[in-house]
Amino acid sequence: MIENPDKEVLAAEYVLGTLGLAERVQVQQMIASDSTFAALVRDWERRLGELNVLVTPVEPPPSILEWIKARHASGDPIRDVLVEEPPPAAEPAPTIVPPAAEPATIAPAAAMPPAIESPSIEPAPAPRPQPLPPSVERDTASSAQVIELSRRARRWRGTALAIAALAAAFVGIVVVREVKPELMPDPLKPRVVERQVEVVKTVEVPSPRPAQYVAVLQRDATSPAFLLTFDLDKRTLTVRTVRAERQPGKAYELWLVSDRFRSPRSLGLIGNEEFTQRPQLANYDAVTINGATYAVSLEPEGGSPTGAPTGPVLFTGKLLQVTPPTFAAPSP
Amino acid sequence: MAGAQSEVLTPADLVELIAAVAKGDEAAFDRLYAATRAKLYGVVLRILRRTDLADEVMQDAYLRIWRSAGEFDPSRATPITWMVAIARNRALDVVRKKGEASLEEEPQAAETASDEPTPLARHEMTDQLRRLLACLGDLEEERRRLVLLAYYSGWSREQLAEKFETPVNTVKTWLRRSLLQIRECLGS
Repeated sequence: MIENPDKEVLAAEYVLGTLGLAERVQVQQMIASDSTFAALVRDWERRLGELNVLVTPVEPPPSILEWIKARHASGDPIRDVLVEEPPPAAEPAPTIVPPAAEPATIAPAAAMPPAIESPSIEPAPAPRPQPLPPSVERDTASSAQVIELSRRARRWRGTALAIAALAAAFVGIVVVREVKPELMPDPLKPRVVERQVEVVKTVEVPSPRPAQYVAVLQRDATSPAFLLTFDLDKRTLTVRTVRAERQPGKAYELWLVSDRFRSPRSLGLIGNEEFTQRPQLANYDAVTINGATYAVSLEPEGGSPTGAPTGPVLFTGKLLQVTPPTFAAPSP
Repeated sequence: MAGAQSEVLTPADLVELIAAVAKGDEAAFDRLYAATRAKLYGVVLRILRRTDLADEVMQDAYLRIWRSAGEFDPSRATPITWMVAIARNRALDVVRKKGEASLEEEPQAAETASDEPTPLARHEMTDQLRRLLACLGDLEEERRRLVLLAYYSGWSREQLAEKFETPVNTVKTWLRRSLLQIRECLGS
């Protein structure tokens, strides 16, 4: 018999999925701390889990397995979505699947099979434009566009993953410690522009301020170059445009690519002036900032229309830390 | 490998694969993934309705399956219900987290599409499923729809209330009675 109907129903509703955010958090804490309650949940997972048989299988994209393996190999933790992840700078929505109708009616047991209709879902993404009319007609051209966007998003994530190994091959990365932003570019600029190989240099300026980090994004000596200065203390980002040809109707947009997020996060457009200061990093913690890949893409004037990179990716680079942040005194 | 065709594996095969995965056998993980990916993707896509979110949830779910394969207890769950529970939980967390701001648009939107019904062959049904469906069949029509909609689409009480044009408290009562009735009916 049912010993505690309240707990029984709570466990069942958790499994069924009808609880709100706060209740889900609460139940997950109960599962972790109360093995009797955890067993109730497990039993409901077994009971209701049988319904999966009626769900129409949908083939996932092939890249997912590669991602799982890469994340497994790197020991990437599985984050708790209910408590983490800072608010998104711009909510990307590259693909929207047309909503599924409710599951088909199940006849009473006596008259049941073989007429059970399976709930199914249309795997093809719907067009993105917001005013979705009640009866959506599938527009193949728009669909193709959305699929392309989604592919692009996946490619971006692939880029982020591969970058740990490959970044140095493409960009010069300079890590500077305790440099005032206004002083920083000058001593570095000639080297950065002249050399096509990786530049790793430590510059120390006597200062009580905490470490600042710089990444140089440049593909080769003739391509545009940007210097990014990060003040982890103030969470500000300064972009210095060392050399970048302005293209009419185009703008350079800076992105933060992190495996903590589902898609690249915009850090804003890089202005036409030599220095662009951005406070956007306030939304991200130090671990994210340190671990992220930074990328510049060429977007239409005004920035990416979708909230995700749409133009060619010009550069990617990571911060490298060559001196410990606790380093106190400048070397002789 | 990534492009491997789905094999038809019995639950016993899956139990063995999970045990091998727990011992670090990556090839076993490949086979487990190949055999279950489309089912799990179908489950989470139905709840999330966005492929980018579903892709992410798939990664997290299979990472968890991989890393906690040693905790799988075949006496307490079947392999597929265990895996589906992991994936659904993740999908529900994501959809609740993101969905708080946009509750109102979803129920209406969900009525605009219609399903292609896929008949389910009798042999695909497990005894457990038959019993569950029999118990669901004992529920009043509306409450049965409520439970199924919640399970398949991951709707919250609030979304169900809107869909059924009834107060949230009524939905809560319906859910409570229906779930307790199912529990009594199944007996285990």
